[in-house]
Amino acid sequence: MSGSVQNFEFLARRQAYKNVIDVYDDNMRGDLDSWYGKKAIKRNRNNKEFEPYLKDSNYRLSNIPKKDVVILGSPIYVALSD
Amino acid sequence: MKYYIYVSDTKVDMLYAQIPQSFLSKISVELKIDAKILSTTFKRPSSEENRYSKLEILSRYIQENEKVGTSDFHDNYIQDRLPMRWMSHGNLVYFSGAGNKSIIGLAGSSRNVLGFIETKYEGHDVSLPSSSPLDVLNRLAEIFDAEDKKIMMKEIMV
Repeated sequence: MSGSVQNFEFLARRQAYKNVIDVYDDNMRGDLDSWYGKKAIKRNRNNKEFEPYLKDSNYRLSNIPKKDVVILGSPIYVALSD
Repeated sequence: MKYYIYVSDTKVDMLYAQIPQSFLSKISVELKIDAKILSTTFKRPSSEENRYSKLEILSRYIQENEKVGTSDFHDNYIQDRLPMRWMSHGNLVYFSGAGNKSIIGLAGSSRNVLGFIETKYEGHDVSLPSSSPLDVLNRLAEIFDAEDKKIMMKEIMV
């Protein structure tokens, strides 16, 4: 395993994706934890923009940025990139 | 030149076999290779040369004929360059990174990591040390005690 961040180039088949807004909307976080690893979700939970929603269950989903998407891909190749 | 560290031969073979002959003929002109040679060459058991040639042609085919997006504008296929971390857990190898709009995780088999060597010893599957950074760091982690390994695992997770 490698702890350092490296630049990679890849080609992958998209297997699944989920808007983060759906993650919280559908209570799918448990599934996504198993898909992507808990840290991937935690990264979003640590995002300040999500904190109000997490602290207040009545917070409207429309207030959550819709840009964040979690994607699971199946790599055909991965190469080191400069 | 690309410095590959992971190639899924299973996917390459499966997809390559579906590339229409017309595309192979077209690309053979571009590559100045006789189409017959191209098709017969790749029918042989895959050599390292064939492996990467097939991959290159397959990549071209996907780029030109399939829906290819990026991490932030994803589609059926995703082709991108990203800063990522990678780790292995058992037979799984996992690359993770983030674009401007998305988090991406690529999960595949450790067998597809270049340099991965697997053999059988007394009936059991055994992976032998290789020069793959993934393997080297795995082996180093085994040297440390369990607590150190836990810390190391936490550090590498995105």
